[in-house]
Amino acid sequence: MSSPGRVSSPFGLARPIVAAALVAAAMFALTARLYYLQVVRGAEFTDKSESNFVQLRRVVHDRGIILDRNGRILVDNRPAYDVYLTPAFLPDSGRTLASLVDALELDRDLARRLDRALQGAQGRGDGRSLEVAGGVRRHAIDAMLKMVDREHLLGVDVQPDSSCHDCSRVLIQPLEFPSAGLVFQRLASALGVTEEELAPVREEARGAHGLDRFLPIRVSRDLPWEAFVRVDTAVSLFELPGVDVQHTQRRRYRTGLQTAHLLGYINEMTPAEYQRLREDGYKMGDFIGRSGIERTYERELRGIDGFERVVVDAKGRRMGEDRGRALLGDDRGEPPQPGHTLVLSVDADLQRVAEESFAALQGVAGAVVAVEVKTGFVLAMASYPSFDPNLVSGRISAEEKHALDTDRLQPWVNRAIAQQYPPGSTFKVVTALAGMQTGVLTLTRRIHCNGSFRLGSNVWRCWRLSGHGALDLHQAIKHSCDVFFYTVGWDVGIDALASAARLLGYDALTGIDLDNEVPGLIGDTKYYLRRPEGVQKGYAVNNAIGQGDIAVTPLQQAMAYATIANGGTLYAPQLVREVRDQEGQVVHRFEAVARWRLQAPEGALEALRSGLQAVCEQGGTAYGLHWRREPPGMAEWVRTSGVELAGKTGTAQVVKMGKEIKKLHELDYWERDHAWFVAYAPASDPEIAVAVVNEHSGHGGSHAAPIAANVIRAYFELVRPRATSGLFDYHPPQAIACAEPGALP
Amino acid sequence: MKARALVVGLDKELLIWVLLIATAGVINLFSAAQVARPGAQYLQVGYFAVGFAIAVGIAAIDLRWFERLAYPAFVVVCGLLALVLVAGATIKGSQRWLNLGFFNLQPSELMKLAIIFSLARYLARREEQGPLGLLDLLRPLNPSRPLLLLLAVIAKFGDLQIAQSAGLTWALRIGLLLIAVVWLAAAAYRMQSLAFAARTFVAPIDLIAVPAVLILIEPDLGTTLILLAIAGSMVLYVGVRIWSLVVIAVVGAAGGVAAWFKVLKPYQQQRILTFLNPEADALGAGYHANQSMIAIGSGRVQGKGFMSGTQTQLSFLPENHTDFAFSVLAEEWGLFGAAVLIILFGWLIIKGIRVAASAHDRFSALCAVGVAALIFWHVFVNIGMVTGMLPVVGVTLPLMSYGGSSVLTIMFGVGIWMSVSRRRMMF
Repeated sequence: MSSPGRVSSPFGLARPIVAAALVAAAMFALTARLYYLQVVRGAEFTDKSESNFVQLRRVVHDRGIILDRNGRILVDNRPAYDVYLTPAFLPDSGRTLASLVDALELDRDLARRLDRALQGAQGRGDGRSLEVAGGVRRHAIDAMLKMVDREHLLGVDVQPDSSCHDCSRVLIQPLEFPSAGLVFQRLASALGVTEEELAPVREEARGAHGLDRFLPIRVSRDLPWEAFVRVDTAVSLFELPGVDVQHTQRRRYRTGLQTAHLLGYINEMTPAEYQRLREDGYKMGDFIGRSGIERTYERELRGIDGFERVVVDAKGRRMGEDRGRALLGDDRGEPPQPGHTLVLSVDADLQRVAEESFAALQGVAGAVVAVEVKTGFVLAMASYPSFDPNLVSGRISAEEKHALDTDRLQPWVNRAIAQQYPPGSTFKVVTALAGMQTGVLTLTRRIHCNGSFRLGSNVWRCWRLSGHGALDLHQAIKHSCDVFFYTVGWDVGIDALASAARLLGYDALTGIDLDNEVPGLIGDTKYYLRRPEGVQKGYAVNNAIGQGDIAVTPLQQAMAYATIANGGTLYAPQLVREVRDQEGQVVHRFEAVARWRLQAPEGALEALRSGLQAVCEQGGTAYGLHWRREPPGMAEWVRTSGVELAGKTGTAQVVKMGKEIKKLHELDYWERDHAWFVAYAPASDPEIAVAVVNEHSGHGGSHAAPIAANVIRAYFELVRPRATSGLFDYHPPQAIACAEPGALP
Repeated sequence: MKARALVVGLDKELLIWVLLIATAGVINLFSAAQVARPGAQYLQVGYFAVGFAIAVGIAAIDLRWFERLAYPAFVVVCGLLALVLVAGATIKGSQRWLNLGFFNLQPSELMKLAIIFSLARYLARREEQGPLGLLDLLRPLNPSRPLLLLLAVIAKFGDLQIAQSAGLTWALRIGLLLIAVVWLAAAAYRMQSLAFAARTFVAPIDLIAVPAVLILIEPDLGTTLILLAIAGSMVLYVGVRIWSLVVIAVVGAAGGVAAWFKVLKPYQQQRILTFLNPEADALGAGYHANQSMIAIGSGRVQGKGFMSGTQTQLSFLPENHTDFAFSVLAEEWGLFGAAVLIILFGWLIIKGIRVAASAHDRFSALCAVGVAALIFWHVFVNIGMVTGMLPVVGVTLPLMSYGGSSVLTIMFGVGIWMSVSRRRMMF
């Protein structure tokens, strides 16, 4: 025991000094640690704190719009709403109940029991209140209410007892108290789907762990307006925690079915495509051009995404503009750059008329192509049957998709370029050209038609069994005499026919800026030698009238006739006239590209043209244009407009004909002939060439020619008057891709 | 006692120093509590008002009263700790609070004071001079030791499954029983030479172990460690023989390994594992430590400015008004502000040690040392954990963290200091 009188410290002075020194050392150690964190690693932690609260949000660009030649919108973007769900922000009723029970200072087991009861009641849709506790003291109620207030918690009721200050009851309303199950129930009813349809999303949300819980899952894409209103209202009333409505854009194809094949459509990338394209700035879930212009011009139509730096709190909630400016300054990202605008050479009116005319003739399947004779630019390109790109790019149901995929008429196929047909009599101009080039045919040579062409034991009939008598080239084209062309074909042989056809662009891709184009086929010696039967004599006779081993696309037809019409220049068909940036400045203008000039004997093309013009005159196979009722107004225009038409009918057999000739209605649809008409106008100075194929419909003069004539009429009534506006100032072709036809394969 | 008498002789320097830190704490709360618990700073001012009143009141009381009441108070608080385990409120998985209707009492806070008083009393009145040995701390020949073993063996006699074979088990059971009986006889023989006193039953280790175990099973690892640290500091202040220290260190290490596998709950293990590398598990268990380090580090030298800490204001920092108050300060006031606070704390603790050095008797000196240890360990462990040097165990920062229990305990301790300081000239 220390003596009371001692003046010195009870434990001496050494101990306090050592203790004080130890304390000072410890404090120094803490300060050193601070120095290490705040000075040595200060910059690193500053970065980390910024990556905590700064979130880069992508601002999606607008895809470029597509205009017709007059600036009318064919494709643009419309606002759309997608629904997303972030698993991390879904309410967790177990946890909420636990904190509620904690605030009330009750046992945790109660929370677990309540959670089970709550989920049961929510599952049954039972709205009766569940009692959390009775006889709760005032201060516990206050603590709980603070928590309820802080968390914006719904569905908690307090029933005070007026006679007893500390005897309140606490109740929860099962149909208001937030739980993941309730959110899915409400979401399903707001979206107008069943809960089962949301089950995959629910599974995905449940399966998310760690950081993935903060990745939003897409629940629904492109909400219908009513569903959007319901979901958005519920979100703003805090009824759907974890659910977000995102404003985005959807492609809008204003002309719908009419231009579907030409414009194509877009849809979401596959994971494989994403792997391939991520370096080009594509993000998972991006849309990409799938076919048509949308695919070919993906690079031009796609813009560059912008980004925005926003301040978020620990729960990922956006903290608003003021905080953002205070913490990040004014420079908070980059605006997106929209894609380029494409101006097509296509005219929306012509496209519409093509559709209407086709429908007026009860066409089932076929194609219409209209091109500018002097430039090769495409004025209209339609294919039937069609699909709705709006559906295909957005909410298409599995049944609708299946119906399109399995339709025997193949609505996906762009028949103008991706389907090949026997050209029938429209091919006779090629035979004539071959004859003149080889010298077999002169303008004055006359051939007698007695109704058939014999070669040994083989007989080929003329379509007029009684025969045409003696004909020259002009008359042969006008009447489409088969025997005349059998003879010429036999005289020149298959290879001369093929080389004339290739000079007009057949048997090769036209190179149009669309996908899935097919080259067609022209049978020649090389081709037949690959086949088991080898070369047979009669092939040239068959091929001469466009049957046999001749297959062409409607676009090739239009380009070939345009070549004849313009005096021998084969152009490359093109669809896009201009690429413009967002200010409307022209980035690139496409000029006409001539592939080559045809070296035809003098007067040959003029002879063909005079024959083709005669086809539409009295006695010609297409004279019916002057009086046919459908499409309405067409015949009157042909009679009165003064625009001279020139063209060639074709009726291509699909099935080899037997001895007897059946009437149209006696044949099965799939066995009927294809009707062809390829035309240009005005005959004297041609501007537009049109090719029409109407599958399995019958005679070309009655089932294809009226459509072509009506499109030509629309060109003169609707398109041409506007051409003087100066919007499209066509320049003569500047480039000739291949001057010598001999360079062809 | 007149009001004047309360003020005369008060260690005003100490009081001003405490007031300075408390003011910093309240200002910091304006920012720290803004998100998680708006308005907490005003409640904290209220706690401080009560706390200062308590401190001044304690300063007026002669510490001999506390010396007299130390053991009864210790027993009562142990009783409360036991009561908490039976009837306490469970918050966040721990049973630590007694609901008194107006106030949630945390008996483990009271225990921090009770252990200071009782240990001080025990150590001040010990007969032997010089440093403590292991035997002094454990007192193996106190009859209470073998008695405990005897009781344990008898209570567990039936289900004590020690060895594989039944015969061997029985032999071991009887062997243990024999050891206990012989041990008891030795103790009884020794008692003949001792006067009957509390000290013959109680050893310093009891004063430490009983509350430590009671708090550990709440569970509250942080408070347990603080308690052990306070007691250890007081014992070390008195002095411990060097070989005893070595033995304690070795046994302590072995016990630590055993505790890891047998005593610590998975979340506590996780915390310690995470502490070793908090950045590896930044979203899981290391979240607290990691976000706190980011807050402090990103404050850099000048700080982000009052109320402008992004970690704090955007809720990345958890518990920022209680355990992580220091991180808020370091984020918003930078190295400058944080270092000033550490210097304030260091100086305050050293002043406490000075009070102990100038104390008029051993009990007062040990009380003052105990309070200094209380504040020191709180400061060191808290700042250590928020800076990622120590595991996150839930220890408050004195005068800075929000919370009535913490404030009142610390102010009570400050009162003890002032009481010791006031009477240093009294002879």
